[in-house]
Amino acid sequence: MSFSNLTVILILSFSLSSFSEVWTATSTWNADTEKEFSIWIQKNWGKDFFLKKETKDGSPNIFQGLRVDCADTVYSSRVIFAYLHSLPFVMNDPSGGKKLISNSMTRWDSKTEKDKIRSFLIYVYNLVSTKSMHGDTYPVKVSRETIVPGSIILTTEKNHHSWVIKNIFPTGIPHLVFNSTVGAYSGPLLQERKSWPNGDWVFEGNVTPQGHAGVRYWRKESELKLPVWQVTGYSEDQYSIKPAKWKYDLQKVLQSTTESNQQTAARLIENICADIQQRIDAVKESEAFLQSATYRCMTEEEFDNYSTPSRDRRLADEIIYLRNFLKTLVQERNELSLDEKTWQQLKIIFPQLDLTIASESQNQKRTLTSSASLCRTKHHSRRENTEKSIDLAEIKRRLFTHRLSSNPNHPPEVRFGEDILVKNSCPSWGNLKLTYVE
Amino acid sequence: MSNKNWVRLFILVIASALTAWLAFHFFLSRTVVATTALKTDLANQKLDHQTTPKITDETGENGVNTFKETLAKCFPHLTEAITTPREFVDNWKSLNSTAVEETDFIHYFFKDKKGQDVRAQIVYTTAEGHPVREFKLFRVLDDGLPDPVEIPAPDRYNPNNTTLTKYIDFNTVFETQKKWSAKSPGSSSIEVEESNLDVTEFQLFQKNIIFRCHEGDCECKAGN
Repeated sequence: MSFSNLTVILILSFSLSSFSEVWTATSTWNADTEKEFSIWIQKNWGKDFFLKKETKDGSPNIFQGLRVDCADTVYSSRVIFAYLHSLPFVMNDPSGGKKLISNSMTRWDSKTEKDKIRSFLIYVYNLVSTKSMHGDTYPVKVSRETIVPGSIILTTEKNHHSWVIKNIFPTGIPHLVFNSTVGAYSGPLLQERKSWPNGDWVFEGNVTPQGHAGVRYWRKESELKLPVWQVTGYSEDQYSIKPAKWKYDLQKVLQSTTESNQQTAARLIENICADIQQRIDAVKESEAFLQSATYRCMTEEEFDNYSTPSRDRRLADEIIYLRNFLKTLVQERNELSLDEKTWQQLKIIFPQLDLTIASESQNQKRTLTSSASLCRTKHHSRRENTEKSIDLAEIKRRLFTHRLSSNPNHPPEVRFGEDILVKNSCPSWGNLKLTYVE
Repeated sequence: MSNKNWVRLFILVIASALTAWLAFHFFLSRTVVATTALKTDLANQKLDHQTTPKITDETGENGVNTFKETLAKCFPHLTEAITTPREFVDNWKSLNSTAVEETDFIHYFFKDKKGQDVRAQIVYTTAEGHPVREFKLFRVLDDGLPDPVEIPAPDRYNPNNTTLTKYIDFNTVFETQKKWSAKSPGSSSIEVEESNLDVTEFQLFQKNIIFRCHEGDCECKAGN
């Protein structure tokens, strides 16, 4: 190699490696790039984003294997799009510092491009939470222009949860992508649902703008330091809606076509089945942890990670939503708008719609799974070391007769409501009793 | 390679380093790295901590609505007695003595034994319905940004004062940031951010009225 060649290589390598940013932003955020973000989320953001080996164009997925909780999922959507499109990503420093955290950070100089972006994401994950989210986003007006794929939903501090809106269907129903703390432990697969979360849950404890709940969107870099009420597009629209009406009002504004009753029933059943499967996975994770810890009592942190009272309440809410939908159909003598098979399946789950759900469930007999069952699945039994079949009708009966246990120190069969007496002297934290509003 | 060539190479390496450095600063960077420039930047940042903007009753720039003017719009009867956001917040607290103050977070900015900036954060949250205080610690690196410090789980959740003093040198705390909120049994609620003794931001939601200020810029508007 000649001397001149060597010097050129040296200069180039030095320039490239020295103080290099996580990525260099060559574009800027504007209406067009925001639109691209929305389309990208719609097409690419999904539960397998961190699981798949390859992207849609066949190139390796450099984000494969990252494990994220709900806040990480939200931030990932923005960071990754910005990275892939050479746009800046900038957020407030959740530790209270005045400088902004951005793609311009140079801490990972010596790493390869893939390692740099992954390290940056992990750094962001270590800083952010649902608490930091309101500083980087603002509540939006309720309209088709402002609630779009890429928007996020945040709950109040009481329930500290968040979702990314992947899509809004013509019926005004959103397709949401999210994860939970247990989800982050269990693997790179995210979760999805096709319905608005319950407004009473989203705004629980604070229905004012101070609660930061509702649909929000990302702030521009120049507006990160502004008080939220001065951010362009800030709106208090959502706080003037009663929480119980919030999801219906949003759906009404966003819908361009009406959902048929059959479509509604199918969607609600799909959501419940997904919730049940997620509960099964969560309990499986909890059991795997207990096994690895030789079945000792969980610490408070472990207990928080593996207990499921919020998840169980969401499941109860979804089931009640389906039941109320069915009740309305019956009241309006509109049962025939459902196909015969669906109607028969739902009658097994909700045999006495004139009673409260608790009374109906008390009167209900144990259901054995069959080919006609809805949400047929299996849960593990530690005592029998086997998988036991269960379906929606049986889970609903056990849930509303308080048989399901959200206590993570219980064996899986007890968490799924098998009639077994267990002695458990482990400490318990928080209120595990199921509460719901019909 | 001859000695002469080695000297040329050495000069070129230095030159390229300088070129890269200049290019970085002029074209790429928004982040400061560890150089003399960084020290200047850090010094400025420390000044920022000491002069954290506060809401005052002085006329702001660029058409900013001052505290005094805005208070007169929202609560004209208070303008005689109250001149600062601090007084306003204290007045609200005394009028709503039954309101329970809920802390959102407390940040302590302090120096470690080597004089390095450290930030401690106590985040008040709930886990499955019960209150939890989560303790987080960050070293501030040369770029002025935090680097999370791993804290063992028993110290991380609901730490007592003894545990906190293991990590925080309270004698060197130069800034304390706090955010809290309170709701009165009536229809009034307030959210407040404080830096040391100054109120840097507050939002009051009262029936039909929203009064809020952020670093000298205030707003009074009709509420829901």
